[in-house]
Amino acid sequence: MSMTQPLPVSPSAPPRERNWWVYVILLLVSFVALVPIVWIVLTALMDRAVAQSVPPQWIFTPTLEAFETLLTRYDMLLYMRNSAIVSVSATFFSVVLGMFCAYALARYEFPGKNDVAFWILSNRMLPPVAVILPIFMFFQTFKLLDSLVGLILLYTGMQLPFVVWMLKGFFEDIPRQIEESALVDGDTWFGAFRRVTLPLMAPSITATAIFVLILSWNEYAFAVFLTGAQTRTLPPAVASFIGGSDIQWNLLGAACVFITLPILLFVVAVQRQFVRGLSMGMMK
Amino acid sequence: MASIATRGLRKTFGSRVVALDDFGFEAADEKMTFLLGPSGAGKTTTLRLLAGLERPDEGCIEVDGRDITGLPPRDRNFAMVYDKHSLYPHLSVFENLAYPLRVRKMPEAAIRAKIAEVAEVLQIGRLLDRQPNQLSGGQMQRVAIGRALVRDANAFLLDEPISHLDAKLRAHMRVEFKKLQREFRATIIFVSHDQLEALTMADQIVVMDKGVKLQTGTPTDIYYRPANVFVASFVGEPGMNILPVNLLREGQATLLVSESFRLAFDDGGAASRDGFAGSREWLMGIRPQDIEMLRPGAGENVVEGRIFGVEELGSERIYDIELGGGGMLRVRTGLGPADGIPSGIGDPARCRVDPRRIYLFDRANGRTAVQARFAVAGLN
Repeated sequence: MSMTQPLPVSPSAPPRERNWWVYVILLLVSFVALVPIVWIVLTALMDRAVAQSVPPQWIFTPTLEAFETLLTRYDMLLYMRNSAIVSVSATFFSVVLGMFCAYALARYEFPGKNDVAFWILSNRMLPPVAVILPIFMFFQTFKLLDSLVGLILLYTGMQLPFVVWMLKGFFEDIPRQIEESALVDGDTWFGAFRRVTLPLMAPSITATAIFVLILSWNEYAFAVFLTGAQTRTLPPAVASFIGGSDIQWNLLGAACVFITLPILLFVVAVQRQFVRGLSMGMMK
Repeated sequence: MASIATRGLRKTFGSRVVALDDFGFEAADEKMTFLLGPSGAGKTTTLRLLAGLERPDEGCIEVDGRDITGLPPRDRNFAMVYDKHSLYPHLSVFENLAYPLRVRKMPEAAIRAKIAEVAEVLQIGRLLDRQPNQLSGGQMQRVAIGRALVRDANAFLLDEPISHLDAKLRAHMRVEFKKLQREFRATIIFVSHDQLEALTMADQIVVMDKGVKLQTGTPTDIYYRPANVFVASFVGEPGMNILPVNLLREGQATLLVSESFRLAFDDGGAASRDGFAGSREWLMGIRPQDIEMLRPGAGENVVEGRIFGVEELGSERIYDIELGGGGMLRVRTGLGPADGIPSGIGDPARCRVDPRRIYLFDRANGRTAVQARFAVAGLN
């Protein structure tokens, strides 16, 4: 039988929809969204003269000059190392601590449970600007200014409410019976948690960790106040290229690539886990 | 396997909800004991107390005479199967079966041998490499049973394990459970709200409602000699007809009288004894299959009414008959239009009630005042 034979179609079937205009809209939106990003990357590849030229030039000889300058004359690698240490540590601590807190909130009844849950959420309602001064004083008193440890502590505390609320929902989605089966099967509480609950939670925990990592990696407001030359993280470092009247556009572009690329590559690498974790939360 | 006993169990949730009150029962070794009751009866709470997932407020639990009330679940050596979510979704069927053995640090070779043996019995050998989400409902429960069988548990605690399966598979699993129970000489505590499951599978049934034990007995006991009106109407499908009546003595005869009927009642002389005097109110009970549909004409011990509805069951029919003075009567019979029985909605209906098959309950407290004569005299 030939493959070109049309499939039988019910006479009452509505004509197949061909929404070509959807693609036109999608193309337009993508164009608008992508042009600035493309422009940043292009700027990063310009030399200084081309970057400053008015009107802007679309055609030029690409150069890695800006990246070279960032690496040699500015301590870009140090900032990147700081950012990595701070955000990875903060992610690790907030996810580990938050996991147990979320578990307790999801599984056990105790007096004031709802108050605790709300109080945790309320910590995220305050804008950072409102607490920058008290935190600065606090850091000064405890000699945490200009230290990575201080920043790790702060980010851990900041991200905890988010982690707890995300994971609380995910834990509630895991039927209690599965854990109880493990207990009755002869396992200890921690054994059941490690061998049954955690594997089931892995996609959700990964998704939450990625969120927290991105938030910590991009955090600017506190970093700019609480870090010094040796402990600066990427966001304040990148922002420093904007100050003054003489903005070096190619350096700024390259710095933007520096701050975006690692996290972008990382997320693309773990994307499948990430999406699965997010969709698990949706399927109630 | 072991015998299990509970004494004076009490469990409350919060300050208001009393899930169990002074609940005691015994499950004999190598027998299948059913906890039967409607939702909210405290069946599952009892099972969770037995498993150690909850602690009782009062009372104790004994296994072979040893008090285990304070032990954590892992030291009780029970196996549990839930209605759903009974498998670990991230582990293969083999690993699901191996879980309780790995926790006990059994050597790998012994685990393989044990699982092969159980898989053979349950015919799940070809499923071992699958993931739980690739199994059908029946296969899942079979694997869950397997996980209980691989270890030498003191007892199996089954929480409505087949109530989520479709009717045909449920009937099949009932037989299979009973067979497994005999083969493995297992002590099983089976929680169910399905009276048919209990009647067909149980060695002993504990009927409970609202956290209280109502009656313990064999399926025959529970069905033919119910302790109260709740048990009488809960067990049996369709349920027993329960109608308010007054008791009247005329010479040697005892009559049950209501606005709709006047029936002779073979009470074996019970109503002439003490305690039946006065104007107490009673409930009469008669099972739908103990009523006979009659052709139009005369007859003794007849109730009259109109046909309200007819359910065809194939070989049998269930008639709903609206009585003249109010109230409904359900009749289950093999007779039908072919036998000259009127079957149209609204047709006048006449049915005969066997005086030896009538139960009498005290309306004030629901207790059975007089068991049906045929059930006392010996079952046929």
